[in-house]
Amino acid sequence: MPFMAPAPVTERKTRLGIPRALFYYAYFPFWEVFFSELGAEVVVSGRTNKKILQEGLSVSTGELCLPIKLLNGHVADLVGRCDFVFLPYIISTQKGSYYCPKLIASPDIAKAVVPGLPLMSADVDIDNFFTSLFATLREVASKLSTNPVRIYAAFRKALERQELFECHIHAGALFEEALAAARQGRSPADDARGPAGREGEGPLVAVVGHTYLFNDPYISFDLLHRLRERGARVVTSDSLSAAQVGEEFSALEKGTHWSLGNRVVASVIRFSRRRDVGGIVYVTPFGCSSDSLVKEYIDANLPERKPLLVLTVDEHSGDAGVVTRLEAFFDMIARLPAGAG
Amino acid sequence: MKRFAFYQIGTSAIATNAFARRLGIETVTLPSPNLATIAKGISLSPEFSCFPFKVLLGSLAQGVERGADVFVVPFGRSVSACQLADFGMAQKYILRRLGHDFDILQLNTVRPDRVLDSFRPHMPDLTLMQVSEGVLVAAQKLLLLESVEDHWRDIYLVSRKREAEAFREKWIRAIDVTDSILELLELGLKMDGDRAAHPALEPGKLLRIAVIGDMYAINEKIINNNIFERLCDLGVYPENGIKLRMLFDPGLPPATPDELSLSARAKGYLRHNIGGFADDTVRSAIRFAEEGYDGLIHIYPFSCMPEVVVRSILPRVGADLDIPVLNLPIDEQTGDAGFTTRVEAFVDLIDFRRSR
Repeated sequence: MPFMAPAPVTERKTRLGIPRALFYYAYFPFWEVFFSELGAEVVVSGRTNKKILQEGLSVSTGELCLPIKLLNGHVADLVGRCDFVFLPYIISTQKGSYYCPKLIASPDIAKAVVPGLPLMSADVDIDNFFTSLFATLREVASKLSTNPVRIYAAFRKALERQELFECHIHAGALFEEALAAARQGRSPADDARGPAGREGEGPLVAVVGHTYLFNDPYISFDLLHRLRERGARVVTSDSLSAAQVGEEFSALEKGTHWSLGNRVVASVIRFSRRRDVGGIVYVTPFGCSSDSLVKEYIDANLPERKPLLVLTVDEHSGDAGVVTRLEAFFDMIARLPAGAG
Repeated sequence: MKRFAFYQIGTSAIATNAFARRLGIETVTLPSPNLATIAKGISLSPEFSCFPFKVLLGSLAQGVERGADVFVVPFGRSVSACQLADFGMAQKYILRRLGHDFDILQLNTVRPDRVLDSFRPHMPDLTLMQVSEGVLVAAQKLLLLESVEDHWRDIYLVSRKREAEAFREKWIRAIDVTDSILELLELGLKMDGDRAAHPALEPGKLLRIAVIGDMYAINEKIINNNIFERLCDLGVYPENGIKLRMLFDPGLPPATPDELSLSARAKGYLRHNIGGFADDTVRSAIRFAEEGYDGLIHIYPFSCMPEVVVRSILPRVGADLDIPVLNLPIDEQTGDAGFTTRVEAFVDLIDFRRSR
């Protein structure tokens, strides 16, 4: 704008909003570093609460699953607070398996139901020969910087942070712990004691499901902490590396079409083989179509039976119901002799 | 010799049977889904699997009882990314628990060479010529079956139901028994002649509604509560937006300027092909709105992944293009009365809207 006075030196940074939902729980460390390195101020939507959930429910159509409704709530929470809302189209992050159509099209859904959404997006499609991750990121970053060297430097830094974060996750840390540790630059080896919660005498409980579900304390009824309060040690399906998921799948006739579904099947099979795992809690949203057939894959391929609690959650689930079922589940584990499956 | 059974949608069995005859394979025709099929499918299926999964599983269960060894999923492009990709394997696991064993053959394309490769393990002597002819005849039959439905609607609207039904029955049987490509071409002309014997229809005078959504829900009458007949009864001219022919659509990129512009506008609402017929649904919604249709009925199975996304987007499309949209999710709980009431109310609404 040549006719205006030159901008003051302390120009306000571009505010970039990231909704605390869906892929936030998988890739936030990367995005946080990448965008702040490019000079943006990263704004994360608030922790899920009643208001955000209600907002999401009121704008969404009834048939959508809870995680998508929640995403809409978080997106609405960001509108007006930032210049752009970053929401990528994540199609595949691995060859041959895909994300659910609702996840892929989640930016389209948010755009249709949240009016005036300043969407900033890009396609992430590893399975597509014509797109590369860096090209995608250049497209995303074009609103912040056009300098490829700067973008590349931010990309490298972000990748480092993400790798460190994933090291912690694979070592068994929960999302918040791993995020904090990666921010401080600690490596898993520095944690002499190991992440909190892995210590203790209680039974080891495996929580499997989609990462954005059990890592959100509000919609999962604080499942992870409830388990710890009862003295259990917790390990989640996030702790499996991609290679471990692939390993489990090479033994099967055919994998499912879904990246998240594959992780669920692989982790249930792996955890049920482990002698130290006392029981498995499988969290799934009501009406999740990609999970519906996954259960058949689990049933058909389970090597050993372990106590398995399937916890279906939606916006109508009540606290009391979840607590009762968890108590019953603990009683079941306690009655089984240690190590028996 | 192994016996094959093809998954079917609506009248697609006529096309797949012709394909099988060209290949010289023995087939077991699955019964058209009826209430018993649906009940059986529901009792075996996981709760949140989509309605087509449940109905097809019911048909498959009946198919194994009739001695089918290999089930063929012939739905080319739509396998790209919805639950359909996992149908075969999950159904195999479920029926295996009941002591049945069979193979699943998933044809992800209609390219004859790929189809040949898929059939080779079961039929070593198959030639590319046979497969190409089979695909061609099947595609030709699908197109003819589609015209039968269009003619049926026109006759239904201008004459009586009995004549329309007689017309449909006669020509569907004729298409079924004709297997030569040339004779099928001739049959198409004869059918058009037969249609011309009935009074002509002026669709412009009627309310026009396009039915869009999931392929299975639209083309399987027992699933969609016979929506086309109901609309005709209400004096509405219904148009099928997702036709059976799309099963054989190789999914070529848009080529003509019109197609390109339509596809670009549709991408503004739905950027990616998310599987099933979601992108076709969005494109046809825009197309029908611009052709001046009075309303859109979006019909899809509850928990259908691609169409639930479309369901969230369509209200925006409808508002932008000023066309009313009725969303009709269907599943085993859908009641006849509720369904009819909503369709009737919608027709009243667009009738009122037009008279203003």
